[in-house]
Amino acid sequence: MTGHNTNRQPLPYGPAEAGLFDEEIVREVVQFIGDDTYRRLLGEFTQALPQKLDTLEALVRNPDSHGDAPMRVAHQLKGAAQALGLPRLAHSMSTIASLRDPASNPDAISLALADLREAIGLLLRCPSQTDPGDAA
Amino acid sequence: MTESRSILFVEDDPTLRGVISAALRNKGHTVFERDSAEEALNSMERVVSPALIILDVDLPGTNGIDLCKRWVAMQQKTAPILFLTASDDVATLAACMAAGGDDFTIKSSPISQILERVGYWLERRGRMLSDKRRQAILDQVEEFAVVKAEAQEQDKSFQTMVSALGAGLRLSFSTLPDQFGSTIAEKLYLLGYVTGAASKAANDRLDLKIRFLDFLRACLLETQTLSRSDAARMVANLGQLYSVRSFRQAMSAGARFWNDAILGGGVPESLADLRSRLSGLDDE
Repeated sequence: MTGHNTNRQPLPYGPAEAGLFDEEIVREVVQFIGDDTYRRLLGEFTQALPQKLDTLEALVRNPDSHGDAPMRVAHQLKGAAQALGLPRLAHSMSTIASLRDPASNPDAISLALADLREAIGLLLRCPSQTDPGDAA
Repeated sequence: MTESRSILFVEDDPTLRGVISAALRNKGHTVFERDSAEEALNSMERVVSPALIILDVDLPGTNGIDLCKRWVAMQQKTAPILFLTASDDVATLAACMAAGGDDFTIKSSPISQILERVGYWLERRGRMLSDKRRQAILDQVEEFAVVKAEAQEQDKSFQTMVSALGAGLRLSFSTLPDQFGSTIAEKLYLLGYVTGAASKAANDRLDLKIRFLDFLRACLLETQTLSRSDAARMVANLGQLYSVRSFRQAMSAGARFWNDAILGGGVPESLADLRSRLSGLDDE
């Protein structure tokens, strides 16, 4: 390991966002990549999420013209969420990715998208999104 | 300790690529990141002899499997290829191996296990799978598909099933009557230990799951054929997992399952009795 300060509190979120994170995974990832790198990757992922979610929603609302694109986008986002220890996001992405015919499951899609928007809203308010230093 | 090596890492998702690359760099390795098959093809000559290629299956455009095939066809596959895949779909895993891949690991695995696979291949210093070994793994992937389907049909997760076997076998060590002798009891204990360790590994390491199934079948059919050296080797490879909390939890669940499923009929009266009860769990 290269100089990670594992003694300080490494969790980049407050109590309000705790339900979004798998603490065990986050701690393991932080152990391997360091607190700063984790925060940076989490920040980049989170900041890009609203636009990606808009893209995903457009794809699932018009699946016929995009082939398996919705599933591919959801699948990729699920992998990224898992890598960062975000099981709630990963689960909702997995729901979308598993629907072979999104148009025939509008309720499931709507629920998953609504949950994603709520989760992303919480993520964007994470301490690490505003001032990485304060959360440590 | 794995010495520093160059790794070509082809993955289109920047987050996943960032996490794994950062972890590899923190271990002292040099990582060349590429986000598409086309970029990877164009950059092979600029990457000085990578010791390992980590290749995402689901790349946009040319996917990882086709990229691997192209490298093989062009005789440019100069390093082992570890496929990174989003699911353990058997058809995909078989395609990875058939294309010329050397190994595969699941993206959702804990990062420690992904790094462990990388470390394994780096330790091999560029030595790739033989065609014979690759074919053997392909055969086992097919067999695993059957076993997995049967386990799902019985509504038992593979981990629960294997945990139960492990817990039960180790319990047998302490409960088998004396007439079985210490040798068989010792072997059962070792087998049980290995089984339990494999239950955790099997959750994330399909290759271990496949190897283990073969091993377990052989041992259960003829327990006396398990040599001490075989058992010791398995324990050496897998025993370290005993320190993992989730593994111990799985073992506890397995022990409870075993108590209900096997010991509900009392302590086995003989090895044949034990095998008979186990056959209700395994596909033998």
